[in-house]
Amino acid sequence: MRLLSQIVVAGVLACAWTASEAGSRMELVPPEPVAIPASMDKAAVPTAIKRALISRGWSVVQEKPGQVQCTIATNKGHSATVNLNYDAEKVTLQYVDSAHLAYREIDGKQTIHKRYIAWARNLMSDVQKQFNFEEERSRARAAKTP
Amino acid sequence: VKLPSRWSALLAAGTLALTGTAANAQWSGELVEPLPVEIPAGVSAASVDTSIKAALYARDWKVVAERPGYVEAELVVRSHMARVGISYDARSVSLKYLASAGMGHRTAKGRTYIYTKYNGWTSTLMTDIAKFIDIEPRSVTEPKVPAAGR
Repeated sequence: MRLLSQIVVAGVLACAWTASEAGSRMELVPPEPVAIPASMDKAAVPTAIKRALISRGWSVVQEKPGQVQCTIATNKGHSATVNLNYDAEKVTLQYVDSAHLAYREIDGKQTIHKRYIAWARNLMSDVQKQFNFEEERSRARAAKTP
Repeated sequence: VKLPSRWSALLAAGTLALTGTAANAQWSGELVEPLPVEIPAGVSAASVDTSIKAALYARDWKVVAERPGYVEAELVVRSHMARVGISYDARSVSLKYLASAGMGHRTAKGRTYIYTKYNGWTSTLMTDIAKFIDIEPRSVTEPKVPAAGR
């Protein structure tokens, strides 16, 4: 009888855990691309991207022209790696890898823990902020030039 | 025991004053200026200036005054305001407290106290400045090759 009650409790806990994990997962949809302001010095794009990611706790893994790969890890073992791809017009974020973020791919549909979605969104929001900063500086420089 | 209404009012006022003092002591701490940030060799003054301003922008500080080697900035969060002066030369960047409002700034027995968030704000800002300077391009200076011996 005692064994049966233990099995029932374990089953209920397993169901609750599965339900909570499923509840915290979302479809992995990349955040909207960030447009590069026309007035911004294009040589400043990779530096502005790197400023955004390091101020959010991400670190650069590798970089090449048109791409900065970066990673973030928490002390609880969650981690994510993404590529920030850029051309003359925009920056896009591409999922690369993750650990302990409940990443699944079923029937072509990717899902992941909502924490990743927030990280990616915040990162792109900071990239936008750094572009705004660069744009304001370009305008200020242009205003000073006679 | 039923206290006269005047006593009850006094007791309530005393309790509130004690609670307020305790809460004030909890959110107030000694003002600690962050350590200066060292500038690596080969980073230009223009890059340092950009890094400081980019870090301020990222953390919602507003530049209120500037001159070569100096940026004054202000952060307003709800009813709190803090103003700092950031000085830099070829070797380092340093931050000093200038003024504040709604931050419980006070001096007692030669020590300065302020809302504990202030230390966090300035420390985060200086960390960002250090990281931003670190990714700035550097001019490469060729190491001096000693003349070949005869």
